[in-house]
Amino acid sequence: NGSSSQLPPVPSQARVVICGGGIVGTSVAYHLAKLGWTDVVLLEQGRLGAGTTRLCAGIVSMAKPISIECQMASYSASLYQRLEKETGVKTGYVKTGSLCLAQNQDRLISLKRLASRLKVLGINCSIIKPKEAAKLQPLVNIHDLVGALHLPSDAVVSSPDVNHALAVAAAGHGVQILEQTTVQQVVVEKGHVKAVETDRGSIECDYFVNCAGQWAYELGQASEVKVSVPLHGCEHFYLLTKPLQEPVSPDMPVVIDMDGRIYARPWQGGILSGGLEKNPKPIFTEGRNQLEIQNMQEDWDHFEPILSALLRRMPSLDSAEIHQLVNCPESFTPDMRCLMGETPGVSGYYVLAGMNSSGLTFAGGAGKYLAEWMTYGYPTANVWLLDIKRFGNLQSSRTFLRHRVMEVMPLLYELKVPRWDFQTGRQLRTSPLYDRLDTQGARWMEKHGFERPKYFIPPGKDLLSLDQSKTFYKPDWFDIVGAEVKCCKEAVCVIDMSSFTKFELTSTGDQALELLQHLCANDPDVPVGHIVHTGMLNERGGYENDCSVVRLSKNCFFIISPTDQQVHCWSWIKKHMPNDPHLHLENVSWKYTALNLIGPRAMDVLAELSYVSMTPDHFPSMFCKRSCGLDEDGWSDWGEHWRC
Amino acid sequence: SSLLCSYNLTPPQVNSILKANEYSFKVPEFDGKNVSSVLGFESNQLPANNMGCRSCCTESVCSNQLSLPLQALCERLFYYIAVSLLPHDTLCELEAAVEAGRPLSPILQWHKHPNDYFSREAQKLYFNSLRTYWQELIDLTSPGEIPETREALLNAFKRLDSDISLEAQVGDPNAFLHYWVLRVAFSGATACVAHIDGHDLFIANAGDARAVLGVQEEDGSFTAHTLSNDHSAQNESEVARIRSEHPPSERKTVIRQDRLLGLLMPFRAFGDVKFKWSIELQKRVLESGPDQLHENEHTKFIPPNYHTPPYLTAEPEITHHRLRPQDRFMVIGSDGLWETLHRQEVVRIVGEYLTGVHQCQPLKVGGYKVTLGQMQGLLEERKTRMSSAFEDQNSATHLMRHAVGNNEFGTVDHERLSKMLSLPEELARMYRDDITIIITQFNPHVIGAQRQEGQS
Repeated sequence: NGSSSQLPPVPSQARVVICGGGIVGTSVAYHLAKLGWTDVVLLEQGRLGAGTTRLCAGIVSMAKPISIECQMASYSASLYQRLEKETGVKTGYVKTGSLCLAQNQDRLISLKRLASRLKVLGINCSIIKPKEAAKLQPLVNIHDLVGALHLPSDAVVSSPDVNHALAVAAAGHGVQILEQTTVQQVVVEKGHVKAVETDRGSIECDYFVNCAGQWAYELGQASEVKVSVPLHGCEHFYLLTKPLQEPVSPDMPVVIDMDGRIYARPWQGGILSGGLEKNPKPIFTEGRNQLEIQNMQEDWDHFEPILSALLRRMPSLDSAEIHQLVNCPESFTPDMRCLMGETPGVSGYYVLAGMNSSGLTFAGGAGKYLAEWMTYGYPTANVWLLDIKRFGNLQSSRTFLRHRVMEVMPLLYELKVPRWDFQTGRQLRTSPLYDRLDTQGARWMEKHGFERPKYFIPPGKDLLSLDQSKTFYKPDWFDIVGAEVKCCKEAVCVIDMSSFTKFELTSTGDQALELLQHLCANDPDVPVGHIVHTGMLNERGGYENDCSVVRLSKNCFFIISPTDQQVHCWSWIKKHMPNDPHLHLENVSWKYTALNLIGPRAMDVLAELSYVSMTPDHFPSMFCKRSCGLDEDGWSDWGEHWRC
Repeated sequence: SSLLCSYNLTPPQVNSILKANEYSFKVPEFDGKNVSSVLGFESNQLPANNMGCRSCCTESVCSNQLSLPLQALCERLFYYIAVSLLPHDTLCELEAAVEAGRPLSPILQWHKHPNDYFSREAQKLYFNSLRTYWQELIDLTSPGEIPETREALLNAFKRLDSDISLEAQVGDPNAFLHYWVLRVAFSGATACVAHIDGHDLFIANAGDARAVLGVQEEDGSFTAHTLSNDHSAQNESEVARIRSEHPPSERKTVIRQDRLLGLLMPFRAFGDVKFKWSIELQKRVLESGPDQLHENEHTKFIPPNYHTPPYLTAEPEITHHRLRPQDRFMVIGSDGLWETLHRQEVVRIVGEYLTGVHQCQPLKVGGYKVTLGQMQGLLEERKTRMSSAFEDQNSATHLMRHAVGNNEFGTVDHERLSKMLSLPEELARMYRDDITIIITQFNPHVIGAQRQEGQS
């Protein structure tokens, strides 16, 4: 109490309250300040950078699997490079460059793909031969390598120092930083953030940003309207050695050996090396506290595979002395991508968390994009893939997250082959036809927590086991899918589309139509029974949603959107819906089983099943009819539009 | 050493040998009325001559004949103990049922070991002996009397041994059975029996088998608490007992080279009538016995300095222990186990196996100078130790694996295991004894509750 009485009082109000004084929170604060926000408060429950940031390995690498991540990393690298000059705070920035090693041809292919993407973004990189890699980093054993990707702009920094520099710069621009202040609850009024209650008083605010890292999930739950932040912690270990006999030069390139699941960087004349193991240790499933994260135990037995991989890659380290094994918990998300943006339920409540062990690399860019998002309504880059609205409630349970992150963490270093499906946390929701399709040999994929048949294995045919089926080449299911497509094109097929998002929009007057006229690019004012395929666009003409609108009656519309648009589309419509008790939006996704009858013979099949005439005169294209208790919502070629 | 290298068993072969005799029983846990202080038990047996069937057919038959009487004895002992423990009234019901030709209510819920074996003829003989025993007990006791456990165990041991002796002296018109009962009497067996009733644990021990309690300390580690005394030359009071039972003139000869009359290792045992009967009795019984016996030089042999029999007894030493919640399990093992592993090591291996927690302490570098290479070596060694733990579903088998295969670092070495299990019989006996292990797991919650009741 003695110390807290000396702390300055919390302000009674602010425009923005950021929770979390790690590298992510300070980056958001820094960028908001840079964009002209003057009334920003940053709250930290302990000391700045006391969480994952304090223990971070300090590598800034642009070798990331998707372009937006590369962009964020690239921006972070340039930000951290100039930060020392800008703030006068030493950040430990050293442009070491990095080497991503390939032990096999598939890995080399994926590195070449990465290189071509990086070049488009203007990031300097080159594919090099093993011998050239050995010249750049003599510690590396190149005998089993087929090549490497060299990224000369990658760097190492001291992340607590970067954190400090960002905080200093943000404070210089007027951001108030309050340490030892714990957020207890986020107060919500009429679906909008109203205030933040802390252990030192309440702060009224318009915006709240959850940058609580390891604590973000619980913080989300501590809101009057609960916000789901689907992430889960895993222990992450890295090793520090004492200086080698011939000390490692500080500008020696970082080594990332994904096939060996390890990374290594120079550290005070020795080496810092960690990895993403195959059998991660999820932690904090039952919640956590500040103390725990500072008392994480080392686990040498668990580290053994990583140590072996390191000594295989750098045999001369055999005689290096151990300094410490660090246990630094990291938070992971269900799809290996970070969580960014405004939450669907509470307007003004933003999230930036779940960095999947690349917090330092992403913090700069992600902070910038989130600040832009809050300032302009949308960031300058396409962050669609990172939007927190991609997740629904199904993917937010602790059990699901615990299982999924155990799969995600090892996957981060595995080959990213096309059409890979997660294997954990499956069968969260299934179609009523699931069992029937499964007996027919269906192989399943998951979308937004919903199981969907991917293809059907013909009787007597065996496919490769999951591990062996990963390939950049023609997969073994290729011909099966080919035959199915041919059947759709030349005969007739039924596709179970029950997972698609379905909304019903109704009103007493023409409010429903007016709203759709406002949202949709196409004209939804069609005769009853007709279907309009349309996009819902934002102010800049960009797609927010892709849907089909069926006019069931004069003031009742049925909106069908892709499966994974459930949260996003709902929140987009809600955001633009006038506050009118006579206008009603309902999510009816689980009320309907949807079958898509497709192919030139579809009409023939339907004619067999129904007494209604099926001639084009009676049932034209883009038309909806109810028949025999069966909803036949149009049978044009929807599948093409829906990109399922 | 060339012989030692001649066989090389693959891990599955090793497993099939180790698991051939394993048995496990779990007390049903969720029947709503589980008041048993025992969770279950697991057992295993590894004969020294398990390679019999591989090396030579006749030998394997022969060796089976040798070991079968022992197993028969084992099974009989349980019935004798059961009868000794039954109240007077129940014994009367039993007798009435047999008299009236009604089916007997089962005396024992019998956990038959897969190798347990009785011949039909022997079974009849044994039943008659058992019935005579309970008839005598009915005469000796009065209605409402419930026997005392300590006394009952003592009597059961002594009575069985005297019945074995008597059956051999009386003989049988059936030549095979006559041969059988003689074989039983002339072979020997030690026994260590645990009787658990609530938190009362009684051990009746005769011979060099041993019962050890695994006690879990507050820090989670296990310590060994020996429940029985070995009856061998290492036990001073046993040496004193035997010397006191014979005239001072025999003081030097009665125990020579740590053996009874220079021959027998255990100082108490069932059977082994060569050390119990007078020379005249031995000669008379053998002369009237079936021809097979005469061909066996071994039975004719009279121990040297054989002046004042009996030298050997089957009278057990009874010890009592009041179970506490920290008493997690009990290992009863034959001398073959305790010769290879220290009791503390036994308790550690079983404790770690049962709790699933590997007490190999988490490694800490601390202030020491450790290189990455040293650490890697250390971790790999720990890894193999852990992985071997999960091959076995049976704790007794797991312990057996360690007993046979442990190397100098206390970890199971497959090569060593393979060699030890593939030794030909004549060599195997030189390197290891028969090993029999029974591991009983206690239910600390039940024991804790019973203790509280007992105190209040």
